[in-house]
Amino acid sequence: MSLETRLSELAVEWPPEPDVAARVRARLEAEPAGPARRSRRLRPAFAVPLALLALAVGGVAAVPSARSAVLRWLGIEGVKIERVPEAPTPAPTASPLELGERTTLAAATLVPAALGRPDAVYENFDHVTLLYRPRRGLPESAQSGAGALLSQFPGRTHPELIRKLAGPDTTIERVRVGGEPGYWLGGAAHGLIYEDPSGAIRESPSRLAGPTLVWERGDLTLRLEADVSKSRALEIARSIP
Amino acid sequence: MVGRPRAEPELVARAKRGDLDAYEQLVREHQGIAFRTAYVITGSAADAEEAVQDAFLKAHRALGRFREDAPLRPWLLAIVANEARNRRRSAARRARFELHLAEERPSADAAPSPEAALLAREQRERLLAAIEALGEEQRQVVACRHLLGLTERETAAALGCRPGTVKSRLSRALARLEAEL
Repeated sequence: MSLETRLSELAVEWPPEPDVAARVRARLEAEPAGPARRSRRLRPAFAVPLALLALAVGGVAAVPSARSAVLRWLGIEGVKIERVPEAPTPAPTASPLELGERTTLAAATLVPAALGRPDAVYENFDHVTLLYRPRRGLPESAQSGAGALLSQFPGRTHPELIRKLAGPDTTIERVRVGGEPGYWLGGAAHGLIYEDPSGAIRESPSRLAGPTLVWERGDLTLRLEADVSKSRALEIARSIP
Repeated sequence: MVGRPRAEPELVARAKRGDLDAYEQLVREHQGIAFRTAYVITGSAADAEEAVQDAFLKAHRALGRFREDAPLRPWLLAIVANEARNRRRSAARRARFELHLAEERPSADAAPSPEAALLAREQRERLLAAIEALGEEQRQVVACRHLLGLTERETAAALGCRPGTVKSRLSRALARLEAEL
């Protein structure tokens, strides 16, 4: 008998299965006007134009349809970079910075030696962001207000967690970090659409982002946003042990 | 008298329209595999149960994004696994899931002789001990693929890695088991 057969015939006793269905049902009934109803109204087909609408110049310019506005796109796991004909501008209502809930540095979190311990750590579902306050060598970003933001998440499980809209004045360069693929977005600020990692659709997720390096590292996708040169960004990325 | 279970795409379509009965039925159909997958990740039945509950609530919220013609299980398991990994990451102590042999099911046809049953039991115990001796990553991949019967893609989602990683990790684990036995 092959090992595979023996394994699949190895009857294992698991802990008793809890009755999740009834409890989920009760919790859903307890939130009648909760997010479920709200997000159902916002179907994906409408969500994309809405997100783009949030980026339309002052809300006055005609909004091209989502598909025709994208000239071409590039990307790595979990990040889609779209080249768009016009520089995106955030709507005045766009939320400044949403990083999730404050948490503590977990053992599994990757920390670049070049930056040291972060000033704060945030967690949203399985997306972890390290925040560094502005300091020497890390100027305050006009877009995020932070010195540096380093995010990490399992890219494979989120096909398009982050969408980046790069206008004509944003440069996109292919780079490699530790032999793995990545992109450097420099020049003019680019639009950032960040979907809720739990899979729920965000209504106004957009903001502008400054120079950013995105790259893969094993099963994780990392994103470093800081007002630094490309070579400094790469140095920071490569200092992650 | 309960009728035949309704086809999943129909249940999904109804759940999307806000039908809680339909969603409850979907949860009931997948809660077992969801719970066991979360247990392999967290190593704690209590954490696994919480992770699965929260995951099904999140999945309900995200249902509008789900394509009705796609299989539901891999999508659900990816959400469940994310929840479970979050809990594992924030847990103070990392628990290992425990494996026990189920009691021998009495066979309907010719019952084996007591000696044969004993021998079979010993072989199963040796196999289980060999799995227990594997490192956590290899133990998890063996549990997902062979004990839970997840597909390669589902295992990748559960363990938060690429299908290629599942394949290579699994083949190393099987080689270890072969050598051990």
